[in-house]
Amino acid sequence: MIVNILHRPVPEHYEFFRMQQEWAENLGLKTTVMATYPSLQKPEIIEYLKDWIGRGGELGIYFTELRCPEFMEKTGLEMDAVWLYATDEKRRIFELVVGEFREHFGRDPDALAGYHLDAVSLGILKELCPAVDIAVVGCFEEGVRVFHGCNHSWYLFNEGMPWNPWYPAKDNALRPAANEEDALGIVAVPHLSRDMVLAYEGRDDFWASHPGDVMRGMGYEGEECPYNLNLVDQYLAQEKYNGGFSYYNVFVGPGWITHNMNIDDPPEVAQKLHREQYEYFAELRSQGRLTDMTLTEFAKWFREHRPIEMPEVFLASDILYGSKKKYFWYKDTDMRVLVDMAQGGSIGDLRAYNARVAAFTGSDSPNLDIGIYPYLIQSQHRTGVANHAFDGARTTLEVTHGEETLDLCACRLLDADLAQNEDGYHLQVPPARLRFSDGLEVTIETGYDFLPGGRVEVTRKLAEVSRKDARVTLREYVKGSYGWTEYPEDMHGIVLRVSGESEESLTYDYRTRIIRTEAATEVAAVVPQIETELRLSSLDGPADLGEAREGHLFSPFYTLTMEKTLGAGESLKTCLSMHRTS
Amino acid sequence: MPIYAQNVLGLRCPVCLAREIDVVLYVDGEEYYCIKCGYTGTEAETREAYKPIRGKFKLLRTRVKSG
Repeated sequence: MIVNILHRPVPEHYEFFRMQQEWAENLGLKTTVMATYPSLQKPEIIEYLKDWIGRGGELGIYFTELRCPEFMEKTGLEMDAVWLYATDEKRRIFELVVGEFREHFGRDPDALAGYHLDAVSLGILKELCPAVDIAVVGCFEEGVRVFHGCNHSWYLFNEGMPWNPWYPAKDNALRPAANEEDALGIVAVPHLSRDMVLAYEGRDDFWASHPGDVMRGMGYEGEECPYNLNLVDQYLAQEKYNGGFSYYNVFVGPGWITHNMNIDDPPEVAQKLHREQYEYFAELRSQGRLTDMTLTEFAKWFREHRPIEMPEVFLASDILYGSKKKYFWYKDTDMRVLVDMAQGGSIGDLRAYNARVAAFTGSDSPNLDIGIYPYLIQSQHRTGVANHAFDGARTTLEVTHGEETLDLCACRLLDADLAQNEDGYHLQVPPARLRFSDGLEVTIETGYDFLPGGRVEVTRKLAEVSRKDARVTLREYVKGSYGWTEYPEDMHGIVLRVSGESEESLTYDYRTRIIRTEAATEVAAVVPQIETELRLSSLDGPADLGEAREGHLFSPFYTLTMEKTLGAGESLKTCLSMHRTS
Repeated sequence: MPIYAQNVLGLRCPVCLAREIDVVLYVDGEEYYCIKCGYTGTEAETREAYKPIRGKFKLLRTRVKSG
């Protein structure tokens, strides 16, 4: 596993920045220091930083903590959140900060960082500092939950991005570039490594490679926090699925190891837990299991070893609640997919990167504060399986016998088998057993193949049926929407269509209409708002029936289904695919 | 005045925290109170109220084997 440790000096907590540096230096761990603008106003800190680079240390710029009297006086601006300024203001800020950095150190920064550096920001910064090849660009799954959790006053919306380093696209820094031509020309790393279960279910700023965040989430007791080390191990374990690659980074502001309003214990506890994380890195390094790098070293390594088109996966387990839950994450240049084992192996989050949705943030952007890459499915924000009113965005398999239909989402599966072949990744979900009220029992085996081009092939095998001659209907079920947050967007204009024995289409108007065809080959939803088409196609010949359903305002979704009636040993095979519409 | 200047202990509302919401408690004499919900309590009561939040984490004290 490769680890990047980043520290940033801020004047009011300077001694604690020095403490972090000292811990790392004593353990021989490499760090990259990211100067903040207020720190560039303090001669004592500049002196330290000059000494640091004189000793061969790596020095970049952190563009989030900007505010200080000098900043406000020189710019007339007061906001720390650089990603939310208008383009001209961003340029003014970057020119000011980079200019002063050059005056002090006689060179360009080695790296750049912010909570979010959007495409416009990175474009300006690449123009100002063309040699810089790495930046901290976004916070994985930071958005709705953190907005709620921080008094509805934290305007950082980064959901839908990769969890691990990527090559950002020119027109959307949170989207992995499709190819070299589409790439912005920089290596992006996330701001912290997040818990791939709890950052999806809850706050990413509680559950991350940030001991202070974990204290904020109460994931420690007394002076003990095994969670911090468990999370490191979980990332380390991903080497097995990614050709030996795993990545972890830590970027903790020094304000988290002194008195902090979100930590309910003395600073000494925060310091101990933070230090222990570094000690664990040193221990793993001594075992040959971890390599510490500076950011520029990592950028070079990443370019040499991880081509743009290489897919990446994460098999995540709950390491705190003890639920045994598992989520599987897949990411490539065309899509990001999450499969939730505890819901029968259903898709809980789906993003079509191949639709190449452009976005930047700031007061001059149509997106304003929303940097999120839009979803087609987000089961946490948009209902998922029904437990109150109607169900929402999700996938599942419906199994019908007589008048009774069972939902595979009710099957709690706690494992997954992952394999990689020359075509891509294959995820085998454990067999799910369903029992109908008349005593008939069936076993369904689900396999996913994640393929280039934004395609997910889904195989549902009716592996066992308790009555030899019984036939049941399997219905692949995809309930989609689109959006950025937890609130529904306007669905008008979405076109639903079915193809097979007949061709039909309708334009979404919240009227609960259904179109269907027998001998179905494809059902689809075209979502012009995000220039994305979601298709469900039948593989291995037409399905018995294909259907597209419009929703209504109390259930603003569209539903695509494909069904076949099968006997034991037979399969329903479909392909869920995403496409750019323009 | 910053909120935390009124509450040097950095105590957060346990009711809001159970909903993953950080709300730093205000203090009035011996009594801490939440400005977002109806919670009130002493420091000792507040720390006691954190126990169920930690209680839901069954692996809080466990080193988990991954992979």
